[in-house]
Amino acid sequence: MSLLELRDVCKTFHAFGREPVKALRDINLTVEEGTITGLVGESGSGKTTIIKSIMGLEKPTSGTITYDGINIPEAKGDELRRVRREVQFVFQDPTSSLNPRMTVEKLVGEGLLVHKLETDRSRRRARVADLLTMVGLSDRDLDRHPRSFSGGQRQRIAIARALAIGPKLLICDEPVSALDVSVQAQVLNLLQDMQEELGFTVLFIAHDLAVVRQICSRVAVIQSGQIVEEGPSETVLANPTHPYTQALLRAVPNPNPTVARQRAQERLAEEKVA
Amino acid sequence: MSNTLTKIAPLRRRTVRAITGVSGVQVIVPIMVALLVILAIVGPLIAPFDAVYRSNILDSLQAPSAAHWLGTDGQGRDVFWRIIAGAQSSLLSSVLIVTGFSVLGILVATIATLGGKRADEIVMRIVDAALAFPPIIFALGVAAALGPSLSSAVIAMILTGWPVTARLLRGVMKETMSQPFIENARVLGVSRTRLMLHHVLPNSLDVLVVKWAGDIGNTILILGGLSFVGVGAQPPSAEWGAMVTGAKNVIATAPWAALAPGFAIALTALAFGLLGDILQVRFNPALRRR
Repeated sequence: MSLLELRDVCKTFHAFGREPVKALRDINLTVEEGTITGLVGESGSGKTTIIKSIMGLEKPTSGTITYDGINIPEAKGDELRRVRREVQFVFQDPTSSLNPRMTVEKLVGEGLLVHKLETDRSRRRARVADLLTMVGLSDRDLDRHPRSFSGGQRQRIAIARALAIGPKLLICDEPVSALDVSVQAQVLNLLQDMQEELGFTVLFIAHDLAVVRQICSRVAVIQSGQIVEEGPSETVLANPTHPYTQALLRAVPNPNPTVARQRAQERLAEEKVA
Repeated sequence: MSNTLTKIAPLRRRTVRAITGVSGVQVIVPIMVALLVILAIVGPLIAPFDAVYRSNILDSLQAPSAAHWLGTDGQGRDVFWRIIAGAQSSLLSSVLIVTGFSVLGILVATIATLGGKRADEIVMRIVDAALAFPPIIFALGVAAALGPSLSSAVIAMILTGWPVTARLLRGVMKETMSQPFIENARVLGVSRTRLMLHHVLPNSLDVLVVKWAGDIGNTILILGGLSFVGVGAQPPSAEWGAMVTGAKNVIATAPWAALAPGFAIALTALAFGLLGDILQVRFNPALRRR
């Protein structure tokens, strides 16, 4: 069953005195319940516009974004409240996406308070402490501010914050691209473990194919506002049919020097042709 | 090489900060501000009435001496005791003014930020119009309506002070609104009130703390100007600004009469200014050292 469905979503930005920019052109994307779906594309391909539309903060020019029967751009009142309660986000940069004035307790517990899931202060604190343990932090961190944590730890706090209210759909916007390579894998493993344990659905936005290969069962490739290829990630990544996907795959660094040299020459040849 | 290292390593400066964790300024400034506030409360009670208000032409414009520590003014009143007595009207009224227009400014900026594009346009045009009012002229109008007194000067300054705060704060709030953590709070489903009180305002107000500091000194000066044109504190009130303007004609022959209250204003402005800096560091976790 599909949990999130984008149908013919278009978004055009009009800027005064300039050509209108077609950021999204007929995007069709389905996220099946219980899976991790990847959305891959370079900067400026329209990934962020898709996310903002799913957030309900940017209205598509046309098309529908349906979450479990609710059309997000039109949602109001109880419907919108349900979307806010069941769809959560993990942002790219945990430094700017966590309010610097709030303690970890307040950050992680905010959803529990806002959605009235735990209104008692001391019980909420206990639940936040549990959540922190779950993401690999400790209850000693409850009263600290985000600035006293490393990037990887901050992203763990962000994940705990998003998971605190038990969302059904988690949308991750390049959650590891701002982190050191050494902690990227840890955060990815955490996401994967949490998903297996809690069974929520994930839409994972990335530009790094190695990351997508590790965790996604399906993948969609987006280029200048259009989905150019979509399918199970093994198939897409093993036998890419679209030239853009092939180019993306070639851009992944390969530790084998022979392959790396070969690819460099291929790229040179391509550039000469172009 | 290792020799230099062993020499460098144990060197640690024995500053106040190294021992207590706070700098000297962090200790002295709050004490200064506290003293000023105490002075504002008890000043009028301890200053002898005669020295402050009774004019004595025979004693006029005397240089500082044992009898008159800071000399006397043109009417022979003791400058030192007048400064002590005037602390209340100068300090408390400027604190009142700054608090008053800050509250108004915060409210207006909040409406402009939360109300959407159209509300923002309308509110900011009103702010533009209000900015065009010169405080002195406006105060003259208020004084004409309410009668000249310190309280009408205070009302006039509150009514002319808020647009600057509103404009400044609205800019900062707009910037805060564009931060990813605001987006994060919105997709979590927080209410507008909570968004404002817990996310936007706490991350915007520190710009005001710095402004308040400068405002206190500035306000004391403008209050003095208003007294000078006759709509502020009325003679023989010992308001500091009024003392400076009152003594400016004799500044060449008896500089103490204008300089002493001027120095009191400068010291107050400095104390509050430094307090602003300290508060900013204290309340902004991003700037705190530990």
